[in-house]
Amino acid sequence: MTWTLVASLIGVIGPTRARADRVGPEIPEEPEPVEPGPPVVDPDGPDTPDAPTPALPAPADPEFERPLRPTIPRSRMADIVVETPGERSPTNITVLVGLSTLALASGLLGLHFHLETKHATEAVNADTFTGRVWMPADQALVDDAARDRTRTIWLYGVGGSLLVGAIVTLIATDPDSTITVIHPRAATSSPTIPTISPVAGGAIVGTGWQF
Amino acid sequence: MRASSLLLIGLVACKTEVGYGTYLCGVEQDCPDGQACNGPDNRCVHPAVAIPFACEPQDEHEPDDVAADAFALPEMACVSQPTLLSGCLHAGESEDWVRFDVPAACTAVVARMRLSYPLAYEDVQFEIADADGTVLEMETACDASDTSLEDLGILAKCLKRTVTPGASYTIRVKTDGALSCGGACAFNRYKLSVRLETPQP
Repeated sequence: MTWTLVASLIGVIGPTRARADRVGPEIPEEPEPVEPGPPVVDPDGPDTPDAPTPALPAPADPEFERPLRPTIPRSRMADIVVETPGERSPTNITVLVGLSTLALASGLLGLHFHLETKHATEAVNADTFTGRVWMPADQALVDDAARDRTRTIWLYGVGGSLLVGAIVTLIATDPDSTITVIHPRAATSSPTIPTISPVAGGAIVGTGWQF
Repeated sequence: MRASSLLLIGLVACKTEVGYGTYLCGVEQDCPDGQACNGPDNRCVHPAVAIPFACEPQDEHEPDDVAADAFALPEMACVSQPTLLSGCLHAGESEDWVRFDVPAACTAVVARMRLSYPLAYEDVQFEIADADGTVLEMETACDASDTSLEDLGILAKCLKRTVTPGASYTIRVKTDGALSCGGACAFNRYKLSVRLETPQP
């Protein structure tokens, strides 16, 4: 009788436990033998001589017969890593925007003088006889071109330096990200303590699991 | 790196590059930096090859520095083609004199004179005078059609005057005495053309 009850409990709990384990990661492992199907309970117990031979369980559903997924020990579950990107401070953002803006402004101003220089030089540059007289206005264009060219070089240089500074600052002040590791923990594996409750004519054996 | 190279190329391309011999000399032998005025052709060239200004022998008609020694132009008809004279005022020479005769057979004659010269050197003026050198009239500005060579560095001055048939006249070509270039270019070459024509009503 007692064995029948134990077997009955195992038969009921077994499939449930297997289904609960299916949610875990799939790791190849030796499948644990699981008893299929609920047995037929003999109310008189196995020690009754005239008891009919318990009928063998009918062939189970093939779906149910397939090997169940292995149970993964909690200790082998992978850690969950959560990376939280760091945030820049308002001051840092202000510095970066300021440097970039200044670099852009210097570049645009340099481009303006660059075009002015280009215009002036194109007006006087020549490599063949022009038939024109060299006038004071031409010399003024040359002087303007030289002055604007110097400005262009300076502004491009300053703009480029500011841009490099902005990039270096961007990299150097990159805030560290916060990494959080979550260790999946199995429920406390307290020893399964069977409970035996005497009843008339026998006893009820029980125990408990966590899913 | 590539952007820097392009930027550098762009800046180099914007550098002023005026080739030698590409421009004519400006006022007072003005030329681009690093170039000098070449005397024979008034072009801006490398200083090492620049030749100082000098009057060509064929342009000298000395002695012609006074009215009595004026260089005589070939005889002209009452209505003539322009008679062209190339002259030169060398350094230290202030004036040249030229003489022309008006045919006596003409009834009414107008003399048209035109003087052209490079602007690179000292400014040149001219005036018409009688045979003794008494000045009758000064030059005036040319018509627009006579100033077409200004862009080529040539300035021109003109004079139109009714002349008496059978008379002789002189033309005085002189520097303005302003001592251009601080006196360093107190010379010039010129071309004088004289033409006789019937006055238009």
